[in-house]
Amino acid sequence: MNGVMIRHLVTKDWELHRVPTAAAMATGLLALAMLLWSDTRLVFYVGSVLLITVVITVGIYLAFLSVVHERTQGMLPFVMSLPIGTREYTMSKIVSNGVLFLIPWTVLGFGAAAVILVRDSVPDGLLPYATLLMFHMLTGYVLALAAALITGSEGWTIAVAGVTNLALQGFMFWTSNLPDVAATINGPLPVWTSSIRWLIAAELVAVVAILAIVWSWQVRRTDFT
Amino acid sequence: MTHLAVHLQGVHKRYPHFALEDVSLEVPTGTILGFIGANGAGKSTTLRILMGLVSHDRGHVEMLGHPIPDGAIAAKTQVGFVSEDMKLFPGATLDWHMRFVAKVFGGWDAGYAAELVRRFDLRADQKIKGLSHGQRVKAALLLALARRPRLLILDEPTTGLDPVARHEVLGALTAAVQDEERTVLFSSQNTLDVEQIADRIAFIDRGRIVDADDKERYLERWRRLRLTLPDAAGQTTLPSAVAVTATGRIATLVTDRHSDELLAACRATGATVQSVDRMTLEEIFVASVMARREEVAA
Repeated sequence: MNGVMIRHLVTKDWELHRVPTAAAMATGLLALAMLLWSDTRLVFYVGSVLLITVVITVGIYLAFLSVVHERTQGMLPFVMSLPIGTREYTMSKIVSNGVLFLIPWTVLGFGAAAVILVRDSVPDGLLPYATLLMFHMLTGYVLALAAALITGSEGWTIAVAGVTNLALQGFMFWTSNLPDVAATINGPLPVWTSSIRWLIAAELVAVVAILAIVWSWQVRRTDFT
Repeated sequence: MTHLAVHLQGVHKRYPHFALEDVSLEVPTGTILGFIGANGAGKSTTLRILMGLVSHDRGHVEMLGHPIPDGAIAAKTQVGFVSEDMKLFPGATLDWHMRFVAKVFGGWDAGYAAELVRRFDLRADQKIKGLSHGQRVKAALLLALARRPRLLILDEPTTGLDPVARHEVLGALTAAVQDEERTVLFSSQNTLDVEQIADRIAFIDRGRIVDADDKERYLERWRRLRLTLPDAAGQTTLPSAVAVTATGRIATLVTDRHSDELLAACRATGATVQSVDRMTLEEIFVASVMARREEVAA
């Protein structure tokens, strides 16, 4: 693999998508501010929804704009006219999307953790659950990226992103009602129960597995238009 | 130094509703080859196979001495590719694109790029989404030309351009091959463009190469003869005809083997040669494609 070319392509995506990603992150910071200084449940609820929405939206935006749009709008032939092959292209997309998503994901994730720990009215026991949700959204994003890279199709990417986000509601309901989670979520201290630990580990394994599938699929591709 | 910049031998590629069959094509270094075909004839597929964007099912493909697709990355360091459906990033400026391509290609010629910006009447600080179709094509061509590639592969570069833009693009292409080591392979349905700048020609139709030759030789061997036959049945005895149409004793014969011997053979049948007309490339293209289709149908 040509590391120099991958760096050029990652830089290209960074330059093209950093402003919208930064704008989304700014919206996420606004959501954090709402969470931090809210004095009513309504504002806290709106801030929570906004924060989750921003993380999901950044993921969909990146998968859609940097992969699907590049293909459907005809920029892919320009990219593929450069001295690269499918390996360089795929690796650059994984790295650039990873960087562009993980920056807001990390900042907003740590911001949410800080809000939980700083605000007295929010139980610290919420921290493991919130962390689990952040990892679940990471998995959802990687799934949408996988759909974008493998199919290059607007329809499939929207479908996968839609199903993943709908599933988030079910996931939140299911995990918050797990006995050990439900017993500690409103507690004064964060408790990393076995369910939380196993689920976070499962999310990480899923992320690695999805990326491995994407990689093996892409390097076998013979038609790249 | 490789004598052939492009070499395809017996290339096959099958899709559900289309197939390239036994495509063989040679483009000698330093030539401009015009690749002519109707819509859906297989021009783009052939060029995409060359660029390693589509893999062929069978056959041998070589570009600048590199086997394709295995050597496509190495070959593409010396190739400029522009296709009709290729778009640049709409939210970025031409200047951003030039800086990006310059980083990728060591041979980027900034002075030449600046000259092309002027010649093509472009503005480097303008975003691509603000450019007209013709300007976008010229911008893409600029990005390909200024990297000073040994081989330029252009898929329908003049489609949809106004006459002035077409003139500018064709002029830039002609200038690009002043260096005799530089080669251009460009596809088009516009035979006028090809006639203007190509020195070799290949016709493709329904996934098969119909004919390929030096342009001048091509134009020399094709003629339209207007004959007066000795009787209405005389057309059946005419020699070397790609196509013959007759109304009564007046016949028109199209041949791809024009020579004095042919004229003598016509006269030997009792026919009187009224005129011998040169044919345009478009007329030749249509005649050869129709003849091939009739041959296949028979």
